[in-house]
Amino acid sequence: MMAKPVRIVHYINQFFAGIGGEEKGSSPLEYCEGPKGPGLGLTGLFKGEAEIVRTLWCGDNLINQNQEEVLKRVVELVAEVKPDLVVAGPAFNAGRYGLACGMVVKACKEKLGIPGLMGLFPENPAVDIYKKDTYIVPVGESAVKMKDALPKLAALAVKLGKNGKLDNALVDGYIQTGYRYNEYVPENAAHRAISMLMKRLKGGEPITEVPLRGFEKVPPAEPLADLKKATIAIVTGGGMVPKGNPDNLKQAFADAFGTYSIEGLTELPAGDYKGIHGGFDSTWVDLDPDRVVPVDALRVLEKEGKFAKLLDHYYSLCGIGTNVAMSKKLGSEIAEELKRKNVQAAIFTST
Amino acid sequence: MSTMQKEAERAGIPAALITAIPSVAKSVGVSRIITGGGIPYPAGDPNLPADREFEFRKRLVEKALEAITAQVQEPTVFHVTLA
Amino acid sequence: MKLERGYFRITDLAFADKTGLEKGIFKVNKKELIERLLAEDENHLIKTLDLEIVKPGEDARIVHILDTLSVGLKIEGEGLFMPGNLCDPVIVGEGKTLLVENLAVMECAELPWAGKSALLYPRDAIVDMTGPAAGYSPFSETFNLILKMEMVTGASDVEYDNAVRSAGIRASRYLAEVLRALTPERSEIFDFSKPVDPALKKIAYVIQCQNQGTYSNTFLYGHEVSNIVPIRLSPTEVLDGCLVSGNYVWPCFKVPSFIYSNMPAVLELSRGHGRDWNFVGVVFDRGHNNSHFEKQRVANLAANQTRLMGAEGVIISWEGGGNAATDAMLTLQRCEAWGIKAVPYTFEFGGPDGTEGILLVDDVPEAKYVVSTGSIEKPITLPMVKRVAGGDCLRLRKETGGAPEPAEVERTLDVITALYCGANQSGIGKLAGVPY
Repeated sequence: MMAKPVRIVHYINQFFAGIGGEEKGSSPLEYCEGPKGPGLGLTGLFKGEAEIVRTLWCGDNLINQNQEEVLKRVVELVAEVKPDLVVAGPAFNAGRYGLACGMVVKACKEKLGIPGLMGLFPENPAVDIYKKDTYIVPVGESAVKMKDALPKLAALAVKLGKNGKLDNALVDGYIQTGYRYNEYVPENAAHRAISMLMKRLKGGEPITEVPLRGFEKVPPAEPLADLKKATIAIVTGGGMVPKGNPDNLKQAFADAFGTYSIEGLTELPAGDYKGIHGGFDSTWVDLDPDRVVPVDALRVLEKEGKFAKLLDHYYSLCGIGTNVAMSKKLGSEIAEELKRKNVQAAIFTST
Repeated sequence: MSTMQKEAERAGIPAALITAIPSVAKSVGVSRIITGGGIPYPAGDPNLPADREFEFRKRLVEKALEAITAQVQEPTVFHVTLA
Repeated sequence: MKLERGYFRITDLAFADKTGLEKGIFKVNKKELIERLLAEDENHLIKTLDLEIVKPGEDARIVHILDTLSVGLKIEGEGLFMPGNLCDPVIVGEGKTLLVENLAVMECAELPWAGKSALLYPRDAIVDMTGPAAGYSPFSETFNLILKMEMVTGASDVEYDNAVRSAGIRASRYLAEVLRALTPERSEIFDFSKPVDPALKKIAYVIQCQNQGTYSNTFLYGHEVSNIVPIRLSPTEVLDGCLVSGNYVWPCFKVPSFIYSNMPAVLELSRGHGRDWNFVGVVFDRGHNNSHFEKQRVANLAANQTRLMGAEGVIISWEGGGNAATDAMLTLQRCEAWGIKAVPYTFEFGGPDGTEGILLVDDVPEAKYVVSTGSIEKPITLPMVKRVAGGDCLRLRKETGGAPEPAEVERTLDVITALYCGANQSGIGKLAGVPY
């Protein structure tokens, strides 16, 4: 006896529902029982293993501009039919439609616990926003590629509907969400590297196991206008702390920073301070802590009037293994401190 | 520390980073980078006699102050010479 | 060069009246070996020495692990297995070498943490033989003979380092003697002397080690490599133990001697040599170079070695964290710039669910094809164990005093850095970061 088909609610927009194009972007949220538009194509591909029990559509502008109201109604309409899965799109590279798909799927997941799946062109801005919340199948850039998009979407919809979740992204081919877990794979890393290299040498383009993640571009701050009037502070990632590490700072994977007084000091005297950074040999900075917290040189310049004042304490942590999120957190906390203390500029040292 | 330097800049506080590996700082996007002495001694160089090392450190912080007062558009590496 | 390796695989390891290997059981005369090691410890740095046996599947945890060695014996060809270590630095890699595949000699000791460098001290290293942490180390699958050592106080790091390594090497050689009269169960031949089909792709393997001072050093033919210029080695030299590790600083980031002489990429590339590819050789260098200039210099020299060898593709692996990754990535970049395709394998960060920040501590835009050896930023709960070997406590945080903590209890670690070989930098393990 065949298992019951996966029940799906399908979300599309005004264009794919046959209402109209851009000019109909404010058309209201409506629905019908059964499939509509691309849902008809999906139905054929499901081969009885899944069925679209209800289709929802809304004008892209309306849903983007009235998210709370529209999504509330969407959730009601979805809850009514108790589906196993919500499928949205494919929205190809349409920005507002992509965002609409994402928010629909996310709302159903959060409010109803129903898994979601959508189809987007990998460069659709909605991908980065929603990839952590839902599975996204990569599809072509426009509806011209509908024929290629639907089979992928259908296959994963069936799998997701039956199992409640999918295999890893390399197996099931959806856009990587960013979640990564340590798992045992059939072959060791050395073997996989050799296979990957051989594929490349034969002219192929293997998929990397570790995608490169770029760094955020932060525009430079305006330069300091008047150095002579400025207070300067030292921030070190070199883990130079008072002997005994009074704040129990970690030697790596920092989750806090220390604040240490240099009031009255013309240098950081050796012996009173200790480098605790677990990633480099601290011998040289232990012999002369100014090699990583340059108090002596800055005092000389302060005395010469090059700038007004060296802040009477410095900030310290061990900058090794700190992930970007924690670095940002600690960095913004230090920046706030600097502002509170009326510091106009800072010198950072890193090892 | 590269990410932290960016947070200072994001808050409007110009900051210079003294580091022995400017390439890493550059790729992370630090705007004001001073090439330091060495990984275990970014603001020094124990191969130098003490007074010359101090001179080197002084030039490093002077260059840092110069970077802080300079208009930069993108990650910029500043170098210090001893001679 | 041509090397034949003959293998024994044991089914048990036990203490007995006479040292020997019979019917798969390796027997060790405990008293004899302890007496021998203490007698040969010429500077009397080992205060007490005990031997322990830990077997695969045991509900046991091993702590204080320093280096781990293979048991190998050269019966034909020049030099000894692990040349240059307590013997002459004779070039090896030819002839015939016998090995016990699944027997490891582990040096365990609480080396003094007094004062000194924030980097250069042995952080406590753990192997769990069963449970969730077992898969992070290949030694949960080997029969381990533990040299549990207590050292005298007041000596220097260099002396302690020498003493523990010497004990390990002597123990390994003592056990290896057993093999001399025996016939191995199976053998394989690595022949780099025959001409190779010119159509086969030429592949080199760059092995970048750590060598930042005593307790973090690697020994090539018996000498640490602080000033090494990248050097070409035959794969068979590596398999014959020309690389011995004295690196105890970061447990997860290390390649112990046992793994160097069984380096998975060297073995696989050697096995396919002349058939699937032309393995033109190994380039060995060290990372953690102190300045950008030095990093570029080593990277360029290493890449050039592969170029001089005619490599069309290279595999790159390294030992160590961010500082080392930079050197290796620069090497990769230089290779790619010269049209030599490079594939590295490395650990990742990413935080507990993989979404936090960067994955690679350092990378270059050319690193578009990278293999994962797993993330080190995953929390792990070590279960309570019945037995602890190698020591009786854990020393976890030197920077806050390093007080000893109980080793057998359940404990959750935020990251897996304390797990021996946990970052899987040799690529020997099957843990990988899998994307969802």
